[in-house]
Amino acid sequence: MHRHRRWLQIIGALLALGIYAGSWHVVGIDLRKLVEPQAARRAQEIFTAFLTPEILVPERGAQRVEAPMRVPCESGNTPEAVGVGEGPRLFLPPCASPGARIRIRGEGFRPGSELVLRWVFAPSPQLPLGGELLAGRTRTDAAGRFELDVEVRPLLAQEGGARLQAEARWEGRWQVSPALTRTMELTLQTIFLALMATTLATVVAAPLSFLAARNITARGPAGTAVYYITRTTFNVVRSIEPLVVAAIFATWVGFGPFAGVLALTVATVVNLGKLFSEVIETIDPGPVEAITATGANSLQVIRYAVIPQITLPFLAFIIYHWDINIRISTVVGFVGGGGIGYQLKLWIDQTDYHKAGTAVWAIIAVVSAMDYASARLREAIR
Amino acid sequence: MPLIVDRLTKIYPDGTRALHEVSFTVDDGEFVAIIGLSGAGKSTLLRCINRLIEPTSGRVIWNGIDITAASPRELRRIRRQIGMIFQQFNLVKRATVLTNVLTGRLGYMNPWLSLLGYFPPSEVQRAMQALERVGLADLADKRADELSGGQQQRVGIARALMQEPRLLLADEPVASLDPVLAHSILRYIEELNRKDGVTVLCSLHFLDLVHRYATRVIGLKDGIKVFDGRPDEIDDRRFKEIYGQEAERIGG
Amino acid sequence: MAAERRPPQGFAIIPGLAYYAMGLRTLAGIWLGVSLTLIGLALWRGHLWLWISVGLWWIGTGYDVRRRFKGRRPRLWPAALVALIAVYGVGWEVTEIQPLAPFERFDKMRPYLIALTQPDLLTYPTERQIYRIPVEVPCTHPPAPRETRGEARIWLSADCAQAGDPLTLQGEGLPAGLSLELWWVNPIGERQRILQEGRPLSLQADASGRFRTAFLAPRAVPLGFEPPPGQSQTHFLELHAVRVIGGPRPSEALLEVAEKMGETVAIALLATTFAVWIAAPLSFLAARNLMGGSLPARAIYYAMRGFFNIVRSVEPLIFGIVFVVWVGLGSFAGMLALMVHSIAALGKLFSEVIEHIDPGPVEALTATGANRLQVVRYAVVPQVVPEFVSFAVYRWDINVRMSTIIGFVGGGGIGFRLSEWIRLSAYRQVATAVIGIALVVMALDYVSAQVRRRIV
Repeated sequence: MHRHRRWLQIIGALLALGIYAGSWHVVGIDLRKLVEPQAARRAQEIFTAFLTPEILVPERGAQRVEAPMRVPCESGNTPEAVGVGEGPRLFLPPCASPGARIRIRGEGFRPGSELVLRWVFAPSPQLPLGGELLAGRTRTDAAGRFELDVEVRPLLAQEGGARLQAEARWEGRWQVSPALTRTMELTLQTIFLALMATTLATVVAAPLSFLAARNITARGPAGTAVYYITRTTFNVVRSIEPLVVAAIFATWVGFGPFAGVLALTVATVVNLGKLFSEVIETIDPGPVEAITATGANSLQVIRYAVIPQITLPFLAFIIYHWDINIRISTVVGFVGGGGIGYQLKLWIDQTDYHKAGTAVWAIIAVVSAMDYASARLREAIR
Repeated sequence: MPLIVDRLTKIYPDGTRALHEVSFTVDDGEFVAIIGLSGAGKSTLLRCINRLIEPTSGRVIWNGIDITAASPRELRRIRRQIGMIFQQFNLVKRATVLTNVLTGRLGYMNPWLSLLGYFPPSEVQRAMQALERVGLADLADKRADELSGGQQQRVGIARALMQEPRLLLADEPVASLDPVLAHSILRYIEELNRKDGVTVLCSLHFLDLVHRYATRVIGLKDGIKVFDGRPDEIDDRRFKEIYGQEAERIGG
Repeated sequence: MAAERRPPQGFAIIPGLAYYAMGLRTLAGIWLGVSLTLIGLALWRGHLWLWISVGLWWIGTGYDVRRRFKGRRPRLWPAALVALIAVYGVGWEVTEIQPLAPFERFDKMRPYLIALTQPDLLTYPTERQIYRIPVEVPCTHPPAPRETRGEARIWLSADCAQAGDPLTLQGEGLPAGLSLELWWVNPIGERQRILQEGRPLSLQADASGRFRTAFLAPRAVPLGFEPPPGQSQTHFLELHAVRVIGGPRPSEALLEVAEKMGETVAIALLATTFAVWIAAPLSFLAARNLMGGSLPARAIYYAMRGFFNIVRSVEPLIFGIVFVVWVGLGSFAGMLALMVHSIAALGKLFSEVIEHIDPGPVEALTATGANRLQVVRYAVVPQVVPEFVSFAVYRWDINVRMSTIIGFVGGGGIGFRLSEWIRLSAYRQVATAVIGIALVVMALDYVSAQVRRRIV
């Protein structure tokens, strides 16, 4: 007997070992992948960015003026500078000789901003995509003026001239980043997505749950059949993740939050239906008996003996599922179901990790808050 | 090598004064019963002696060592010589009886080896002897929660035996048991006291048990020592001092 | 009601203040919360009707306050109704609910429902006999019927056609009951199934080996290989006589689903196992009863708690996209994602188990002179292990569900193929995968429930 057990234990251990070895192989665990230089750098980049989410960004402004300049001049010598542009004005000669140093002036730019001068080339046989060449950098003075000596590079002669562009750039006041605004809007959408789904699901699940309650439905062959069919449906649909349903629904009703609402509704109906029916099955039969004894009909019995008993537990489960639905609705967007998930995935795919960080922190805040609120609410109504 | 308790005071963070300047000396081999109402400070007194509860002021000196001033390391060396048994037995319910008894030896063992769950055969043998002494050797492989209350308390005694204690603190050891079982448990403690010469401090609820087993009685009321003497010295007046004016004396 | 204080009448102008003055603190708090929510919603969406509902909420609660002042029964439902309408109205708008869309676009869903009744499970090895009938496209001469002779005689109503032309095909001398498929092959070898009402046309030879069918010539002229005006190119109509040889075999989709479900379960198993071994020691650091006392211990306790709570609130799928960027596509990324989330979820549950242990044994072992680690090993660990195992099994169950979708973001398992099949509208394969998932998840659900019932 004892020896028999020992053998069973050895076989069990070997089996477990085999299963783990197989799993290890199938999953392709390779811890080096975590630390190899490139991967580690990506990870570091992501996590650093997540820790510094984009919340405030400086207001950026730029002014641009550009004007063409021929090189070399037909006449051979460089003429006087002429002004171009309204508002900010750029003074430059219309043509110049290669190798000459010419003085470029500007006025009417934003005072104290960074100023970049560059040559902009049109596409040509030598430069099929066009091009840019830095001509010089300076800052505008307190009156918004600048002066800079620029060399007319040989490349300009080769191309027959270029457009000279003056760009003044500055960073202004810090303001709420567009990513944060977008995140907040989508977070609210996420909350409402969960709210709508939970509400719709409650409306559907509450009556259905009576069909899945043994003590209410399972009377006679027809009732028993209804009971088992409802039960089984709940169990089967419960095993399909809402995201799978959402992916299918997105092709049905189109991408967007409505697909998410429907998918979450389906998932919540079956979960709540099961929980509700269990609540109904465990009610105290005493009041039912008492009210039936007064000569009340079945609807009256349900209204006065059943419903008062189930209201609070139902409410607790509904709140709990709103909480769960908020979690799911943060990712339902990955498959086209609306909410913040879609934008988060987009930002990560675009390697906009700071913006993705904003979304992740918003998710953490909302989910934690709901988690806490739901726990407190459920405690309060118990 | 007596146990000296010197002006021991304990005030809990919520302001409850559980002990107030309690002083007494216990000689080797005494069987001291501590009596008093619930909340009189009996448990606090016992736990202040091995510093399961940190006293607010006062000293406890045993074997010439100041327990109240001991470093954590010294404290553990002292504790391993002080056995303790509890009202709720305090066994690990999901562990076997044998393991529960062996844990009494942890203070003597190599800390790292013991973390692996290894006990040398000599210790296992010692544990079996302890179990034999309390008449439970055949239940060694049972889970602790499969045992009755009286059996569990005997496991508790066996665990204390493993420590080869010089002093035994017993906190209401029989309060959760039937009267018949209570005597059986107290007889084991008495045997420890008589045969092995272990000093016993035991809080008790029933006066008849005090008369039957104790050589000395300390009475506590609201954290203050109100009586210290032989059990037969407790007359009606003393009884009312300890238990209050409304109390009626039952038994004993 | 008698306990309510009666503040000055003017307080009714700000109902929340009146509630507060009446001693109804909770109601005052709720009033403030609802008011701020409604104003926030109105600011966000900017609709006039939302501002109106803010006003109505104010009036409704003011009405309730007046009733209370006069000692009548409170009546809050009109105000509550206004607030609910406002909130759900915004919800309706924000989540873009289109109640008719599911019906209007039901044609997109129908194939899934049909496919669920006929998932791609089995294939029958077949032998095909192919009859090729050349067809000129487009017609450069008046069309004439064309007959092909072999073992069977097959007539096509026209020897030339243009996309959309009706054609009739009939034949005789085929083995009775043989199933037939029609394919169209263009000059560069692209073949397509002939469709009828959007579905592949399939027919059977009757008992005497005859068949007859009508269909439309498909659009098949290859892009960039159009014939010059006035000329035609030769396409072929293929009649495949399909004979089943041998018994049913599992289909490719079924084999793939089976393999990927194995991978899915393996991902969940490893993620859970690693998470348990990491979360178990960490959870001791997050247990209030063990980390009391000294300041550093408290600090560690709060740090671990915070870590668990933050990580727990991030769905595994989000970790999935991060790990896919980190270690690349595949099951390993999915496993890591599930593991990290599980560490936090289990860590929190484990630490709560530790906080609810019986303190008696801890006291008893401390009294024997055991050190802190020994106390944990002998008084705490034996008490918590069964609960830990139970939670771990439960977590495995959850992780199997999660790992069915972790592939949606590239984390391996069935989800990856499933998302592809959904994108390609491979309805029958989707059905196979969904049924596979349902079976495995329900089976593991049952096993996990049984195991947990035994343990605790």
